[in-house]
Order: sequence, then C-alpha cells, then structure tokens
Amino acid sequence: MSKPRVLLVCHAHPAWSAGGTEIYTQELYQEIRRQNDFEPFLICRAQDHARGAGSPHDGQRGAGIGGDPNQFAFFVDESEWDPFLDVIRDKEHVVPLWTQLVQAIRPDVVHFQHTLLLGFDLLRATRSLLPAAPILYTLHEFVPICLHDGKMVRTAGNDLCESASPADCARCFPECSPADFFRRRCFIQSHFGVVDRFLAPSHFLRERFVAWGIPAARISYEDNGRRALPAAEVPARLGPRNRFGFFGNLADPFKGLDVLLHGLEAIAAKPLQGTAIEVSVHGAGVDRQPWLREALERFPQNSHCRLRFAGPYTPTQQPALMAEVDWVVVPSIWWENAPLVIQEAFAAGRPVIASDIGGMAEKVTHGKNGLHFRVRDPLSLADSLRKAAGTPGLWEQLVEGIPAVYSIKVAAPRMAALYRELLHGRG
Amino acid sequence: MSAPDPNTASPLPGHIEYVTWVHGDCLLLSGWFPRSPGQPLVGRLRGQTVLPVDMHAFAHPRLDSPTSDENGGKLLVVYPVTPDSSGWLDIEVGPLVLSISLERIGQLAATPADWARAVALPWDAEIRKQAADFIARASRPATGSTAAWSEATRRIHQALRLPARRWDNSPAAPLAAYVDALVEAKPGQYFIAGWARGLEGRAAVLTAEGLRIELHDTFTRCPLPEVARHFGEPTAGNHGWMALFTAPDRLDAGSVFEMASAGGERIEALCPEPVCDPVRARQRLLESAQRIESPSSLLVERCLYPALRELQVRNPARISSVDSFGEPPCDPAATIVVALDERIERLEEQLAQFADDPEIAVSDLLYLLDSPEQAARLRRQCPHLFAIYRVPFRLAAIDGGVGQAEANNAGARLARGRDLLFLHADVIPQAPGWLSSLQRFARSQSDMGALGPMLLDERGVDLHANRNSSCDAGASRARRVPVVAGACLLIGREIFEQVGGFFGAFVGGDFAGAELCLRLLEAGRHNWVLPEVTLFHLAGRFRPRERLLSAYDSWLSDRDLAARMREAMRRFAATADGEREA
Repeated sequence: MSKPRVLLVCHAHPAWSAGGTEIYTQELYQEIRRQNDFEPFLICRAQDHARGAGSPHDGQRGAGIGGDPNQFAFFVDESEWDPFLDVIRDKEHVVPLWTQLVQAIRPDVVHFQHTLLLGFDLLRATRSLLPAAPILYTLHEFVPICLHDGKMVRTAGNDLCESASPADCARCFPECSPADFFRRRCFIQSHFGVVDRFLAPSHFLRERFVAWGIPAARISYEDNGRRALPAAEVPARLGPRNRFGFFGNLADPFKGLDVLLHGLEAIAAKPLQGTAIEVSVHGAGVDRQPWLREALERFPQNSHCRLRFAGPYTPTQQPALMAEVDWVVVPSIWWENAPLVIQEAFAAGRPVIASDIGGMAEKVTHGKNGLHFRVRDPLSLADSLRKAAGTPGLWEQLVEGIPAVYSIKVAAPRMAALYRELLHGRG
Repeated sequence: MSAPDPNTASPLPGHIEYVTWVHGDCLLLSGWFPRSPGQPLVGRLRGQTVLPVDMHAFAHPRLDSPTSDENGGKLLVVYPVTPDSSGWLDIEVGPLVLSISLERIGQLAATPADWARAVALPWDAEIRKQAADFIARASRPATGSTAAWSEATRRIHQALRLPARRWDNSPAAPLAAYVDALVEAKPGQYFIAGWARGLEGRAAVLTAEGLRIELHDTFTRCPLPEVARHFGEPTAGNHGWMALFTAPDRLDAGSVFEMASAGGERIEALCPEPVCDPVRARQRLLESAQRIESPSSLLVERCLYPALRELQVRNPARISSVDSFGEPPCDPAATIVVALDERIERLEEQLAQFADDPEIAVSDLLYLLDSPEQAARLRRQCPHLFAIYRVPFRLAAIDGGVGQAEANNAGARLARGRDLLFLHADVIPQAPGWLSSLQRFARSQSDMGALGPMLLDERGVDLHANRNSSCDAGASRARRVPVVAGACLLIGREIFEQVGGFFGAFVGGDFAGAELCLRLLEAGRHNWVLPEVTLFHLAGRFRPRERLLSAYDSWLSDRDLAARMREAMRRFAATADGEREA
C-alpha cells in the first residue's frame, strides 16, 4: 500500500527567503521524508525573481525546486494581491494552477504553514478539491487578526495592541471603516471554517486566536521543531560574560534594534565599573534602514561600551557566530510568536535577554535560562545587560537552565500522528 | 453670388440693401430706412395676404449719409414667403413702402451665409451677435421641421460670430473658460458643466443655430481645486460651474459657451458635442459631479439632481449578457438578486459566506453588474470563483450604469424563483438557514408585502431600529412595519410585478425599497420585519460617487416621498392602534 501523502504549503522557500517559517517548513518536509510514514510534498509561493533559483520550467506558473520532484514553486503575480483581505483578486492564473497541482499530487492531508501572498481562499479551494482531506493550518503570527503586518502593534506610535476590534483597527487604518474590518474578519473566518486543526507554536498566540474567534478545541499548541544545529566549538572563557549578540532581520523595524542602541547609549553614559559591554549586530537589511546604518556607524565607542556591526550571515555561519557571544539579545517591540533565534541561542548554549512580552516571555524563562526586560525600555535593557555582564556566576547558572531544543525528529512523528488522527476522524 | 439689387421702388430715404432666403419660407431683408417708433410694420404680397414681419433695428450709420440720425440699420424677416411666390412684396413702414419683386429675388438668390459674409461681416461684433440672435429667433418655424432653419441659421451664426477668443489654459491666462460636459437630461433640457477663470459676468450658451440661451437661472459656481492648482492659485476658488437649461431644439455639435468678465470682456469656449444617449449621459454627468469635492446644496438642487433624475427615469436597464457558473438549480424557490454597483470584490466576499449554506446552492443566485468596463474582468473571474466556492450563480451584465433600483428591476425580469430576495452586496448572513426562515414566514402571512430580517452593523446594533421606531422596535418577535430596508428585502415575484417594481428614479436600493414598501401599503399589503433572522449590513466607507448618489436619493426622497411617508406612518399607526384596541 502506498504511503499517505501530505502537502505542505508555505508562502516562500528558504531558497529565496530565509525567514523562520520557511526554514521550519523546509525542515519539517525533510524530516517527514526521512521518517518515511508520509510522502511529503511542498508548494511554496514564489515571485518572478525567484524563477532563476532552481526553476527548470522557467516561464511557467509552477516549477520544480532544486531538482526535487516533490517541491514546487508557485508563481504568483503580486500586483493582484489584495492586502486588505489577503487574497489574490485575479483568480485566472492561481486557481487553475492550484487545481492542477493538487490534482496531480492527490494529497491525503494538506498542511498550510502560511497563506501570505497566496490567499486565504486557497483554503476553500483546497476543501472544494479535496472534500475528505484533513486541512491543517499553522499560525505563525497574527496576520488574520491584524492588518498591520500581523504584528498587533498600533500604527500610531507602535503601541502594543492587546486585542483587535473593528473600531480599534479602523483607528489604525482610518481609510477603512469599522465595517470594513468586520467584513475582513468574517471573510477570513469563513475560510478558516474549512480548517480541521490549527496549530499554534506558542500558548500566547493560541490564546490570541481563541479570543479572536477560533474555537479552542480546534487549535492546538505545537511548538516548531528544529533540526539539530551543528554545535560550534566554544572556547573556554574565564573572563566576564560581557559579549552580547543581536541576530535578525535588520530591515524589520519591529525587531527593536533601536531599543538596544539606546540601551547601549545609556550604558555609555553610566558604564559598568570594571567590565566593558561588547555588542555585535548580525543581520541583513541595514540598507533598508538608513537611520540604522548611520546610528551604527556613529555610535560613540569607548572603553566601557563597544558596538560592532558584523553584517549578514548565513544559517551555516550562525552557530559559530553565536559561539562568539555570551548572550543573545531579542529586544523585539512586537509580541513575537516563537522566534527561531531563541531556539538557535539555546541550541548554541546561550542564555537570552528578551522583551518581557508575548512569545519571547513564554519561550525565555526569566532567571532560569535568560533575563526579561521591560519591552521598549532602553534603560531596563541597559540594566539587564549590566546585570548579565556584571553578576559573577549568573551566566553559568542560566546556561544550566537552558532547555533542550524541541527537535524536529520529535516534532515530525508527532505531526504525523496528528495527520493520522485527523485522517481517521475524517475517514 | 450676384450683386443684389432687389429695390425697384425705394429711392432714398428707404433702401433695401440685400435680400435672401433664410430657409424655404422665410425671407431676410437688410437695409436702411427711417426709424418708425409706434408706426405699424406690415408686409403683404401685393393685393393678397398680410404677412408677419419682424424687424430688428440697430445703430449702424448709413454709408451714403453718415450724418443722418434717421438712418439706422434694419433687418427684416418676413414670414412665410416661399421662393415660388410671385409678384411684389410690399413692406410698409409707416408712410414708406418698400416694394420688392419676388421674381427678381429668385434670380438673385444667394445663401444666408453669403449675406452674412457680404453684408454683416464688417459690422461691429456686438451688432453681429445681435443680428445673429435676431435672425435665429425670428426665422424659427412655429411648427413643423426645423431642420432647414437649423442649418441656415447655423451657417449665419458661424459666419457672423465674433472671432472666438478661445480659452487659454496656460497658467498665466487671466481669463479662461472650458466646457467639460454637455449632456441631454431629457429632450430639450441640457446639463452643462465646466470651469472659468476671471469670469464673473453673465453666462450663456449660443447654439449652433445662433440662439442665445442665458444661463442665469440655474448657473451655479463651485470650487474645483484641480483648476485652482493648475493656475497656481492658493485657494480653491469658485472656478467650476454647472447649469441646467432648456433649449428650444435639440442641440447639435457646435454650441458655444460664453461668459463675461467683470469688465465686460467675453470669453467663449466650444462645447463638446452633446451626449444624448442616456447611459453615456448619466456617466458623463456623474463624472463631472465627482470632480467637485463638496457640492453645495444650491448646486445639486438646481442642476445635478434634477438632471440625474431625468436620466434615471430615461435609463432602463438593458441586459447585455447573462452567464451561468455552476449547475443552475431546477425550480428554485427564490431568486437572490444582488446588484454589485461597481463593488465587484463584494461578490467573492458574499460567496465566501454563502458557501457553507446549502440553501443558497439550491437558490437562484443572480448578480447584476451595471458597470460595463468591469464586465469582462469579472466574467473571467467567475468560473474560478465557482471553482473555489462551489455556489452556483449567474452574472447579468447591464450595458450601462443604471443604479441599484433599476438593476434590481432587471434582475427581477430574469428571476426564476417564486420569491425575490433583493440583497445588497455588502450584506452578509450571520448563520446559514436565513433564507428559508424568511420564506417560511412570508408564506405564513396573508397580504404579505415585503419582508426583511434584522440588519445589524459591525457592533451588532440594529441599523433600522429608528426607521420603524413607532413599531415596537427592538422587539424580538415578528412585527408589521411601514417599510423594510432595501438592503435585504423579500417579496413575492408576482406582487413585485403587480406594483411595478422599484421606482427607477432612485439610484440606491434603500430609498427605492422604502418607496416600494409605500406602494405595497397603498395596495393594501403589509410589510414585516422578522428579527429572529439577522444579517450584517456592512456598508463601509462611501466612495465619492456613492456619496453623491446617496445624497441624490435622499433629496429625491425628501421631494417625492416625504408626504407619502408621513401619511403612511399616520395610517400605519392608526391601524396598529385599532388592532391593539380590538
């Protein structure tokens, strides 16, 4: 008997976009394949510029990826994207191609990791094509709830948003009415109605979606498993644990690098006696934030506080780069969900200093495997950095508390079990 | 052209300089003879009929006696004289008789344009305009075809008109004018719109035939920021203008808009060819109206709304195509009629809500599109929308903008169901089963007119509680009401046809629904609301055109419906009181 087939769907592929969701999806696909219970397929949205990246069928709307017959690029014309309802308005190309792919793959289970730039209506299209197939949807941030890039952060002043409502959303986007936002919610929830099971990688995110309207019984907590990262050789260090690293997308204004810089300014003004604070910033995208490049270049270096802009890195370089720091700082000013960088820091044996909200507060336990500071508060962050660098034995204590990273080798069989359970339920 | 010399017995001081036929039964004479205030002016075919003569005098020195103050220029129009008339035509001006041989005229016949070029072109500009106006007015046939008159006077007018000082759109131009739209609201009535800079005086339209139509009655100014920006002016100013005027004849191409500055300088601008097709005319009018950010009440009530009302009435929906997507249900109980009104994206939003309701799949779901420019795109999308949502539906394309009311009437003509459910595209159900609940209740009542559900906004507030506030609003049980919201209105098809459907002068569905309900009441029917069925009415922000049309409907309702509504409410309240007492 042939193995059941699972189709994973993602809004991008690591071959052209190295975001957390893309990486996780790719790792899940590889592990499902390795474990051999299900035959996995992967469809990833691609823009035209990605055609050159492993596309043997240039000029078509769909193409194989990297010679793998089970991975497909799905080319979408973004000019037809409706950013309000998150659908492709021009169905003329999307629907026939989707139909063609799904009918060719004939999946028994479909697991959406994201529908950004694919469209929520793809859920309904899939249900229409596969009435009996379980559909799963992993929620990676708050796009269905929040029009502001799914951040749940207000457009005015970037204040944190506790819960969305049509009236509040219309205040963030005055060009739209509360009725528009109510329509948006109804529209998205109508598509979510065909999903058999939602997965939330953090409890925090799960609660937000339950409050938004997904029945609690239909949404399970399931952390993102990670493949084992190669351990970098960590040289013995006897001196102070005063090296901090920031890793992330510098073009993302919600990552809070400005909070870190202001925190360092506070340290420069009030140095930690006897120990210098050293911070290295790793990531791409600084060119899209001109103020940031200027701030990094003009930072007043002195013997108490040193800042180094290290620039972009590849996933394979990351373990070694993390090995060069003692702490990883995650100062995001939005809630986050389940940031991969925290898993990566823990995998590298590095405690994390993180904002005290949302997925960061959930994944990092204050005083056990990291430190919390008040979100958006540079002085609070400065205090945490001073404490981290200046408290003898704290680093070692927190390293002891770092949990094992949830492995994809564990996560994939759990996912397969869930697929089977849902198949059985639908059967 | 022959040298005109028709005088046979008119030595000085009277002299006919030139004679020509304006058209087949009207003679034009020009010349000099003494002024004759109070003295009779008579024309007659010698020994025969007395003929009407119209005269226009103007200050023009007689060339052979420039110092004489008794000599002014004269134009005479004699009517009716036909080219086959014979004998002598005598014009009696007081004691003076000017006699003209009609045979001779026939031999010398020249065209009116020849006369204009030969005689009138040297005159002062103002006199030329007066002459053209006079000839056009005086020579117009009282009955019958005006075609020959139109052609002749148009040629005279063109030959006589002042050399046009065309509008100059350079930002430095102190005086400028432009006509943006000229549309026929109804035969003989025209809406005109444009802009002018530095011009505050009287405005007029000169028809191609030379008729001068003053616009002062309805001429209304309005700000047009884009024009102010073009001329680099710091404030919006009242550059725009609109007017609604009556013309004695159908306008042809070649009309001219004329407007004066405070100093008396006149600027003219050529009018575009009048748009007479009601579909295109409506479109053109709305385009003009949309350029104005906040039209004043004066503007809309004098010009826009009356013109739009005429166009709405003249503009029945013509279906250009009907396409089916999915297997249409056999013998559907209801037809759901949804006029999209340019909001084509709402079709998908509604299908997403209908997809989980099996009742919709067995109903006749009919979308109407009255924006032809969107039809091809939407038609291409529809097969794929069906593939996604699996809700069968039809799409009927109307060949021009007509508004919801008339689109709904067209939808009713295509309906297959026994019941008609008129639904706005921005209404979505709260839960499946709503349609059959409405239908069940409708069938349970005799004399059922229109039936509506409770319509909630995004806050869950009953949107129409105030409308029927005298009717125990807020109660959860079914209740009779004077009117049902047009956003979701169920009615038997037969009854709908009996009362004549929606009144097409309305654009939107709301007021049209109210008006329909009034007629149902007047026909002895009862209208009901069934609050146990709830749908959401999510109107969202108005687009500029929607805002304009909604205000128009409101104006029309105030004008045409207010008294009827008051009377209906009074009678409804009296009936309700009586029933309660009983």
